[in-house]
Amino acid sequence: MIFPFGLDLAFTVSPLLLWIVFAVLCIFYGVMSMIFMYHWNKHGHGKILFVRSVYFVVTISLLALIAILILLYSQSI
Amino acid sequence: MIIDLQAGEYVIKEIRKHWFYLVLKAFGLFFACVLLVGIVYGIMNYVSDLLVVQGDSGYLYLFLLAVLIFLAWLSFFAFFTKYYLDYWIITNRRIIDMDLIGFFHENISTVHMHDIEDIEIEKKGLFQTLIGFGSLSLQSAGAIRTFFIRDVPNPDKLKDEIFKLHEVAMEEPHKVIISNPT
Repeated sequence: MIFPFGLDLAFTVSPLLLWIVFAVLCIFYGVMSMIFMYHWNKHGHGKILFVRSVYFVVTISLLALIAILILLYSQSI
Repeated sequence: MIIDLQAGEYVIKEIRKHWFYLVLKAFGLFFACVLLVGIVYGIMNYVSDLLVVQGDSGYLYLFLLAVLIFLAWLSFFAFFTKYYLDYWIITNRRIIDMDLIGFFHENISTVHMHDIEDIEIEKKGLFQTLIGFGSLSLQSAGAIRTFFIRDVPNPDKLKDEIFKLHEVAMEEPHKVIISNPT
């Protein structure tokens, strides 16, 4: 789409962009996990092992799913 | 233990807010996500001319949905951590309020059993009355005049327990330090 004054705002959704988003999510996940672990260790007294396990298993599964979707998107080009 | 117990002091229970509080947050988050999915879908359709999708757009939609679920999942655990770290420790001598205001902002306040003067219970609204949770406000003779324990299960039972502990604490001899002005 060409806007007035010949401005072209077309935005390409490339696999590289999706991998950058994935990398940002991974960094965000790492920082948040460190904060959660600090508090859970400090106040949890080892009582919330099940919650920790659910958190890590589901989060890593979601990250794996996101990575697979990016791969599928890349292969569909 | 995060607090230092005095000699002869022991923990009776830890109280957290009612689980309904967490469920309410989860529902709020769920509806926010549904709304966000709608908004993102609308924006994607509206600016579809601006987006150059190189691959299959179906995978792109799924990718965005997965990212949203991932962020919602982390947000839920942020709520959970706030819920888990906002609690009260009841010992035979004190009530300690561990309050996590932010991830890097903790507030710990204490009221001694023998300082408690009165306890007021408040159950406000339909859910608190039906499910059986509410808030306690403790009038204290200490530095903190009013001490709140909010959204806890069975506030009536808790009030009785605190009064019993208060009576026991009042019967115990206290060490009184009288400073000599001379």
